[in-house]
Amino acid sequence: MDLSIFIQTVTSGVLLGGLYGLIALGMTLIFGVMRIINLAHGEFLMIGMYVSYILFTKFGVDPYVSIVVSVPLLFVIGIAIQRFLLMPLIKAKAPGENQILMTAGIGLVLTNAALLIFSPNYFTVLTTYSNATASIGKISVSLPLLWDFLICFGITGILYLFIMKTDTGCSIRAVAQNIDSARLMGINIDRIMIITFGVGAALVGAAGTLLMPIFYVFPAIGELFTLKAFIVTVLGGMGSALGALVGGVTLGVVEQMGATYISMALKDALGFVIFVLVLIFRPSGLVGKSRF
Amino acid sequence: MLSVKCLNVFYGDAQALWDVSFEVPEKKLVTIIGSNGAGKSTLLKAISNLLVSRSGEIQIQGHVTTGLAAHHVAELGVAHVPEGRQLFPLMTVMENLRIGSVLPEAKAKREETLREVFDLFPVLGERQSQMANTLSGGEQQMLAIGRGLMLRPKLLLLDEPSLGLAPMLVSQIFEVIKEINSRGITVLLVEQNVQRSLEMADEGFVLENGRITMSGSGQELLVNEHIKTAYLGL
Repeated sequence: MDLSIFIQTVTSGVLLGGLYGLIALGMTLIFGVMRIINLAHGEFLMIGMYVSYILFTKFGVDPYVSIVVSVPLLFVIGIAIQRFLLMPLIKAKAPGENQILMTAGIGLVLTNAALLIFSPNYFTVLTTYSNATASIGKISVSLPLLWDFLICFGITGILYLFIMKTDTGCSIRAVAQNIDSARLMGINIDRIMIITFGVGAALVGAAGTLLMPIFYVFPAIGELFTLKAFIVTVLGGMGSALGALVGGVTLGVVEQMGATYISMALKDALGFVIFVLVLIFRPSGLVGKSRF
Repeated sequence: MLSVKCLNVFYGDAQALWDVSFEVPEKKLVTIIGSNGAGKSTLLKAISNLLVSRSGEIQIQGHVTTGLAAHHVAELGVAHVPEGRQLFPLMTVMENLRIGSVLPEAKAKREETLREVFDLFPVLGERQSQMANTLSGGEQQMLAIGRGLMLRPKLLLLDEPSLGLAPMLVSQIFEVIKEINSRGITVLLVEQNVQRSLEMADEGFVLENGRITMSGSGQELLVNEHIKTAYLGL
C-alpha cells in the first residue's frame, strides 16, 4: 500500500469531514433543544448554495463573500419556520412526530420551489481558484476545500463561544438539559427555541455557501445532505456539538477511504455500514453525552 | 405576598388538589406538611405555573398569575427550587448559578448575589468549575438553593430540600433556610421532615389527599394530637 495515497485519502477525508460536521452541527443543535430531527435540513443547505450561485452569476460576488448574505437569510427563514409553522404544533401539544412531518413537508415544498425556479439542471460556480491545489510533498489538496475546512473551524469556534459564554447560549444549553428548570429560571422557552432553529438553519446555510465552490447544486440535493447530516448526528451522539464534528470527520474519512480503496460507487454505502456498526456497538454515539 | 384561592389542579382526569386556599404573608416562613402523594409538589408547581390549574386564583404581590407562562412568574420574583434539585447536569456550578440570574434585574446584581451565595455555601465557591452532576447530594441541594437565590427572589419555594440528605447536612440546610428568611425573603417550605420545619415556621398548613385540613402556627401544630400521631410518630 502506497503511504502517500493513504495520507492523501485521509487528508481529504478530514477536510471534507469538517464540512459534514458543520452541516450536522445545526441539526444536532436543533435536536438538542427541540428533540426533533429537522428533515428540511438539506434543503436549507440547498438554499445556501443557490444564494451563492445567484450572487456569483448575477452580481459576480465571490462565493466566500456570499456567506454574509446566506447566513442572515437562513437565520430569518429558520426563525420564521419555528415561529409560524412549528410553534403552533407545540402549542397544540401535538406529538413530536408531527413536527418532524412538518419539517419533511417544508423540505418538499422547498425542493419543488427550487425545481420551479431553477429547473432540474446542475449548476456550478467556476472561480479562478476552483481547481487550485496546495501541495505539501506528495500530498495535494484542493485549495477551496482547505479554506472550507478552516472557515468551518472558525464558525464552530464562534458557535462554541456563543453557546458557552453568552447568557443566550447558556439558556440554550439549559433548555436542552432540563426544560422545566429552565422555565423556573425565567427563561422564555419559546424565544430560545426560535433562536435555536434560526441558528441551526444559519449554520447549515453557511455550510451550503462553503460547499458551492467544490460541488454542484440541483433542486433534489437536499435529501442527500439531510441523510448525511442525520448519519453524522447519530454517529456523534444526538445533541452533542463535539460529536457532530467527530461524526463528520469519521464519515468524511470513511467515504474517501471507500472511494480510494474499494470503489467510487460504494463510498456512500460504506458510510451506511459505519453508521450501522456504530449503532450496534456504540448506540449512544462516538462521543455520547457532552456539554452540548 | 402569596395568596391562593380555591385552587383545583388535575392530572388528566385525576384531581390532585381540591379547593386549596391559603396565604403566605410577606417575610414569613410558611411550611406545608403532608405525606407522600398529598399534593405538596403539585401545589408548588401550580404556584410557579409549571402546571396549569383548572380553576381558582393565585395572586403574587397583588398580581394574578393564574394562566401566565412560567417564566413570567419567575419575573415577578418567585424562585422555585424543585424536588430532586433538577440542576443542569452538564453545566458547571458557576454556569448553573449564572443561569439563575439571566433575568435583567438579577443580571444587574449578578456579582453581588454570587458573593452572597458563596458566603452562604462556601463549598460552592470551592467547586465553581465542577460539573453539577459530579457533586454530592448535599452539594447539589446547596447548588439548587443557590441557583434559586441568584434570581434575587422575593418569594422562595422550597420543595423537600432535606430529602435524601445525611442528618448533619439536614441541619445545615435548615439553618440556611432560616438565614435566608431572616434576610427578608418570604419562604414557602414543603417538607416531610415535619418536626424541623414546624419548629422554625411562622405558620404551617397540613395538606392531606389534596386538601388543606389544618392550619396554625408552627408551635400550635407541633402540639396537636393528630399531627403528633400521624406525622411525628409520638
